[in-house]
Amino acid sequence: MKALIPTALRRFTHGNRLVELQADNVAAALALLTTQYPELRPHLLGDDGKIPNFVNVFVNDTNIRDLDREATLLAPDDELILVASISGG
Amino acid sequence: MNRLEPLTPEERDIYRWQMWVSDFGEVGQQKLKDSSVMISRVGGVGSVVAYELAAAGVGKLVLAHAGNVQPSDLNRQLLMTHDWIGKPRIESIRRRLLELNPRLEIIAVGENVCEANAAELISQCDLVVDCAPLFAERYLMNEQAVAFQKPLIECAMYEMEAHITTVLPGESACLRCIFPQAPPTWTREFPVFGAVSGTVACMGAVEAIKVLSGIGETLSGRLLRMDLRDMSFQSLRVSRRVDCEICGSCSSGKLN
Repeated sequence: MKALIPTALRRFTHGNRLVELQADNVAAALALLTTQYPELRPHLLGDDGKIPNFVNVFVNDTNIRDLDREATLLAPDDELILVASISGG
Repeated sequence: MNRLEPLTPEERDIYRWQMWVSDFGEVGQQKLKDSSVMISRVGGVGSVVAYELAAAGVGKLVLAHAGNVQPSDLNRQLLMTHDWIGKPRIESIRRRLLELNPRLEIIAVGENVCEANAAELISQCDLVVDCAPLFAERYLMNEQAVAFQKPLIECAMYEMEAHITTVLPGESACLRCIFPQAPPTWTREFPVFGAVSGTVACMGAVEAIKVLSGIGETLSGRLLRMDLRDMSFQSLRVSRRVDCEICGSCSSGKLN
């Protein structure tokens, strides 16, 4: 599966917009992503290992909050879409 | 929404092309004329929202924006002009909108949204378009829009990415449902092309026209995320939080 990185966080992924990952669930995907790009970690995971309230994670078009949260299963062709809150006006 | 005056012959002539939209027509145009919209701030996003709604024939705009025109406003804040540098932005906004539509009623406030003015500003309108660069202002508008049961269009951007959703209080996710907390790293200054802020602004104006006139399907319950760097668009489902501190106990509310 692939993870879509929000623009505001791409400076922590060397500018990469899409990152290919092999993970069975959301927690594993985020762990891989933050291992590959350690500077992402404080922006995607809190001290408790949970996703902070200023980031939304979608599997395809559905928020993991409406699925099984970090335990949501992933298929190889799923897209993990990270949405960071932005406020430019 | 209060019925004011019927469309004049001049207005029928000006809005003729948009009244050809089959499910909009003269009835939709009359609804826009009878409507009031609050927009804040009226910068990169808000200036284009205001200009499009003034062009479309919305009857009244309530606008809030502080400060004087700066040179760095001019790449995106299309209601500011070079000859107005150093003078109040809100006067440039008023002047430019009335040049386009002299029939427009404008309540122009030279302040940004704050605790002291949010309720009064939002109580005067039928719909709110949130174009503020700071989360504190966005959360205030969200809170008051829910309290007054006013539809709220949320338009935001960063660099070449933009987000838009429509909040129908009591029916769809509010800003706090989607983002309960502001990111600690957000700053007032951000990278922006005027063409990007203008893109999400035009979409915000379209959402406002749809909500006010009752045509089409709005983005309520969906967050449209777009990356104009590669022209990718995702329509993402967003749901209410039953424990939302702002709208969790809110019952359904619609435009009158």
